[in-house]
This record gives sequence, C-alpha cells and structure tokens, in this order.
Amino acid sequence: MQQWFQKISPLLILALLVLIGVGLGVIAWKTQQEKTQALMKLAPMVSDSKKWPATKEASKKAAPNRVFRTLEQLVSEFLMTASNTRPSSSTSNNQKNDAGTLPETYPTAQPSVPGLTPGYQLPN
Amino acid sequence: MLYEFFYRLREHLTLRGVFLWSLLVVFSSIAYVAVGMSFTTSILVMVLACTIIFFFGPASLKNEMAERRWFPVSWHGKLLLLFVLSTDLFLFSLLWGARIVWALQTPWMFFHLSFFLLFALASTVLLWLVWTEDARSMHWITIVHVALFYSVALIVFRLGFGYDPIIHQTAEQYVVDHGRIFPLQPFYIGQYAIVALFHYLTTIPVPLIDRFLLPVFTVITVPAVAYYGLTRAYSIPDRLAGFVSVLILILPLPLLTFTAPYNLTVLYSLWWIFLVPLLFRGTAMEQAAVVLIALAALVTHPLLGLPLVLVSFVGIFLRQHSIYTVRKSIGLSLGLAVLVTFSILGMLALYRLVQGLPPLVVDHLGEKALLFLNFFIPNFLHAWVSWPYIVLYSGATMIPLVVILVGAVVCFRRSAFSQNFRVCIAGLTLGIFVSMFLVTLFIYLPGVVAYEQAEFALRLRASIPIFFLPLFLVGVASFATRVLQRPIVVAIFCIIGGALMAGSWYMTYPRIDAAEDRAGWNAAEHDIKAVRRIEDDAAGASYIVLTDRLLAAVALRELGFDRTMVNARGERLYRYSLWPGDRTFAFAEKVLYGGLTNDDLLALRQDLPNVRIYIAIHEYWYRVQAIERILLDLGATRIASPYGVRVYVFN
Repeated sequence: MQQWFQKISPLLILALLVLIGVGLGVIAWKTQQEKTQALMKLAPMVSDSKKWPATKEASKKAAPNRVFRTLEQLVSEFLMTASNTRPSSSTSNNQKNDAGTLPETYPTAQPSVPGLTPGYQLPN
Repeated sequence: MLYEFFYRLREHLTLRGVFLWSLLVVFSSIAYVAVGMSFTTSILVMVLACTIIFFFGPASLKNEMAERRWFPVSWHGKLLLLFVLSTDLFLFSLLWGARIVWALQTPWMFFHLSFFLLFALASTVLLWLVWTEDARSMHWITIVHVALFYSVALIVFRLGFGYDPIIHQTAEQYVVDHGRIFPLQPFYIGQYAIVALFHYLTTIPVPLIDRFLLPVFTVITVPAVAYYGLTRAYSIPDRLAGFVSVLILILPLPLLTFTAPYNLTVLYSLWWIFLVPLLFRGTAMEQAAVVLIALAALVTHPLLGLPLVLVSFVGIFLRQHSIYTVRKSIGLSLGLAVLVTFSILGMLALYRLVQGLPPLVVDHLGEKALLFLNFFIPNFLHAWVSWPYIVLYSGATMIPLVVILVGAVVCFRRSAFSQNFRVCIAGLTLGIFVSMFLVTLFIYLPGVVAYEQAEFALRLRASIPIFFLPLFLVGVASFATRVLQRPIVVAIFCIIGGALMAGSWYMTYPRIDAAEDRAGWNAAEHDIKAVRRIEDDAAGASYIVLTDRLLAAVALRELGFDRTMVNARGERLYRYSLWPGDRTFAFAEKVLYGGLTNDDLLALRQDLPNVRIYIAIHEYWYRVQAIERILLDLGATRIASPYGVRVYVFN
C-alpha cells in the first residue's frame, strides 16, 4: 500500500497543482477581461474626443467623467478583492516623487471620492 | 576564423558577453566625446571591440553546462517543467491583454489576487525543479520566469513607463540626429552612446531601443552573470548556484524595470558585485572584465560608477599585498570608506561649483538630519492598513535588511573570502552609507525640484543591499545544503520562496492600494494628442504652455529640444514649463496648486509680450475643477481638446 502510494503521490501532487493552477488561471483571466473591457468600452470616447464646452456655464453641465469613474471603480474592486477593505483615502499626486512623500510646501489634497482621483468631484 | 570566433564565444558566453558589452559602452562613450556618434564611428567601435574580445578576451574555461542533459529524466520533472512554462506564458498573455494607451498609475489595476497566487505557484514549482533536477532547461526556464518578473511595465504601458525615460529618449534621438549634445556633460554618455550605436547598427527606432534596453539586458544577463559569479567567483557548487540564482527575485529592484542612466549602472553594479572576487584570484582577463564593468558604470552615471572604479583599482592594488592583521584590515576599510565618501560628495560639490554655486549648503542641518532618519522609517505605517498589507510591506522593508545582515555575516565568517575582498566590501558599503548622510546634509542640486532633492541619497540607500546580494545567496546556499534534506522541508522552503517572489513582484512596480497611493501617472495617448492640438491651435503663433512635468516631457519628445523662445529679460525658455530653473516652471506650479492670480498673469505678460499663454491640466489632477474656475474667472477660454487633458488659452 505504502509503495503504491509512493508511486502515485507525484501524480496526485501534479494533478492538484494543475487543478489549482487552472482554477486560479480562470479567475485571473475572467477578472482581467472584465476590468480591461470595462475600460476598452470607453476607448472610442478616449481616442476620438468630442468638442468640449468652451464656456463656464457649459462646463458645469459637462458629461459625467465616465473614464475616471471606471478607473476608480476598477481600483476599488482590486483593493476590495485583495484586502476585503475599503481603500484608504488617497492623496495621489501626479508630480511623482520617488521618495514617496509629498512636498511640504504644497497643499495636501482633501479627498472627496475614495480611490483614484482624490479631490475629483462628481459632476452635477 | 568566423567559426572559431563563434565557437569560442559559445564556449564562454557570459564573461565574454559582459566583457564585450562593457567594451562597447566605454569605446562608444570615447567616440561620443571625441567625434560624436555616427554610422562610421559605430562600425569602428563594434569592429574594435570584437577584435579585442577575439584576441585578448577572457580565456576559455571548461563549460560544465555542455555536459548536462537538456531535460529532466523523470516524467514528473518534465511535467512540472511544462507546468511552469505554460503558467508563465499564460501570465504573459494576461499582461499582453492589459496593454493600454490610457493614463495609468499602476500596471496591477487589471489583475486579481489570483494572478499573483498563480505567479507564486509557478515560482514555488520552479524552485522545487531547480533544487531537484539537474538539467540545462532549468536555466532557460529561470530566464523565462525572470523575463516575466521584469517585463510587466514594458508590456502594460504601451507608451512608456515613467517620466525620466521620456526625456532621455528625446536626448538619444538628438544624439542620433546631431552626433552629440553640447555642452558635453560627464554623465549619461554611456547610455546615449550605446543607444545611438545600436540604432546605427540595426536601424531600430531610438525609443524602441531605449524602452527594451534595460529590461531585456536584465533578463538575459542577471541569471547568467549570477550563475557564473556564484560558481566561479564565490565558489558555490554548480547546482546550488542555479538554485540560489532564482532567489535574486525575492529582492525588489524596481530600477531594473525601465531604462535610465542610473538604472543601467544598477545593472552594472549587479554584474560587478557578482564578479568582484575575481579581482583577487581570477585571471588577468577576468580582472579586466571587472574593471571594464566599473568603467562602463562610470561613463553612464558616476554616482555609483565612481565608487566602483575606485574600489576596483584599490582591489587590484591590494591583490599584490596580503593583509594579515585585523587592525590593518579595519584601517584599510575605513580609509577606503573615506575615499568613497569624498568621491561621491566631492563629485556633487564640484557639480554645484561648476553651476556657480557654493560647493556645500550649510543650513537647516538639524531638519536635514531628521530627514535622513526618516529614510529608515517605513511610511506605510503612517496609515491604517489591513494585515495582508502589513505583512507585504513589512516583508518588502525587511528583505533588504536581511540581505545586508546575512551578507555581512557570511562575508566575515566564511573563510573562502580573502581579507582583501572583505576590506573592499566593507569600505564600499560604509562609504556609500556615510555619503548618503552627508549628501542629505550638505547637497542641494540646482535644476532639481525641491521634492526630488532626496533622490540621490535614496538611490545610495537602495544600492547597499545590491552589494550584499551574492553574499546573501552564498549564505542561503550554505543553509540549503544543511537543512533541505527531506522532501517536506524542501517543499516548505519552496513555498516560502515562491510567496516571497510574488510579494517582491508586486512591490517592484508602482502600486495603488490600502498602504500606498502616491504612484505617479504615465504618458498616455491623450497627452500626445493634446500637444498636437495646442500646436495646431497656435497655428504658427508664438506660445507657451503652463502644465505639469509629464505633459511637458511628452511635448519635449513630440516637438524636440528646439522649441524655445527668448523672454523680455533675454532668458531662453522652453515653450512648455519643463525645466525647474525656468520662470515658466514657477508659474506652472502656481497654476497647478491653484494660486494663479491676475498679478501673476500680468507679470507673465510683461515677461513674454505678444505670446499666447496656454494652460493644460490633466483630467486626473486633483484640483482640476478648482483650477478651471480660477482660469475662467481670469478670462481664459477652454478650447476643444482630447479627452483626458483640459486646455485653456489666454489670448
């Protein structure tokens, strides 16, 4: 019995590895597809932008900022799945600083929406 | 003759490859300074380097790899090999599916936790395979895995990763078009010259060469040089060297993911440290290879290049003199540390002096000392984070420290290393650490924005674990031979190793998560379109654009260096607010942080009369709405622009 098990055990471990690998692969592929397609759907709008309102009044009535809301949603989902917690309020800053610290002289963002674009206000 | 050349090259590819590359970098840099890069100089440099390697290159050694079989003997070994290969290819395909031209902060945003678990699984199986199987295919599968590790940013960010490479690509294109850049500077030459040389020899576009250069060379050379160095220079048995080479991936080295001059010197430093014991007991050609690598680093970026050259020459000097006493060893180590410290500090002080500034800045020393201490406090502890992130970020903080401590212990406990080698490692790392402190205290670099002043000190901090990495791997190899006897212990070791590699993979690239949320944005399609839109809107009129540095860098790459103008004070300004020294840069900062006033606008108009003023703000900038209100109140008009960038104009 023990000899038989020793012979079969590599096969069992391999089968288990393949099973786990395929399972993880399917989940990874499905989520990657969902997340990229959610953004790709907006690609025509991104690459072929329409005229933007040129006055202050029209600017207030601008269309919802769909691309960035989608990005925010994607990041939030990523965080939710990774840690099962809400993301912390963000202070991201496109003046990239490798030291990971904000310049002291600059004002820190007051986040209004958790996620990718702190300070970004949802359109009216 | 040609056959013999390739035969000898094949016989000892690693050292010859490193030797040839370093020769090419050094010779092309000399050609760059002397006559400038062109097709003729590129051919001459190539021929000269190949001739030297043929006649005087490293002597052939017995190629033990050639005696091994290609694939594992056991059927389950073959199947596990297939499992790792197919998993890696699958992960590559997922990365490829996430390629995007849209602005992103992190490449990880499209991937689920399962993606990383799959990588951990593949890493675990790879470690098991490399430990249990003795076949040549183990080295190739290691290279595939290392390629997956370092190519994420290269694949996902279709328009390039990071800010610095955009500037360097423009400079490289200028070198290709004009031969060289005046005034000649003592840095970056190694990268610009080698990119130009490859462009002339292959006609591949410059941005493409630039993007692929470092990640591809890392993937090809790091496993090979590590294997060669560990077996030949650090005297580890052949199979153990293959096993511990994979463990390099547990140390996150983000700088190896994109091409920039300093990042290239990090790669050269890795080569150098894996080969440096050959300075003391290798052949003359192996010694020459180590010195050449240091010279290649020097001409590419002197921050690490200069210490490497100094230590290499001190090492050659010490080879002739054996050190017997502890007192003498300590004295020599301290002397070398002082030499390294003064070389780094002196170089930066000289740079300030050349710019017409006092060499050292002696103010706010207490605050700067606190800043130095702050370098060692993990910043993720400031925010509340859940336990998986605490484990992940603590691990990433601890691993470099563990590498240093284990490496230091191995260096001084293992009798195989000579006292000369110990003196060089101690002097180099101590010198780098002290310079890090002094640079923080006394150096403020002109032309670098305030929040990046700590960059050089941080680079020095990140370089210290690299110099202990081979010694750490020697320690792991020693541990493995003693402990990894029973299969269950091997399996546990491989699982821990696989998990560490997956964590390191995640930490190697910018992240947006519960613990870290300050990643910068990368160039996107809308940036390029916005630059073109402004150019069209101006229709030949003179204009300036106040914007953030990323869009300004994209403009530089799109429009080139020559889009400058002279203001009322006679200063030459770039059209985009790119250079921190320009007045437009200060105005752009006022715009971005919401402080632009009518007085600023008047001052700008006086400085630049009859010039159209554009302001471009990224849609993702956190103050975009507030800035729009201020600009419209000041009388700006918003013009139609690609989605992602808001463009305003003051006519």
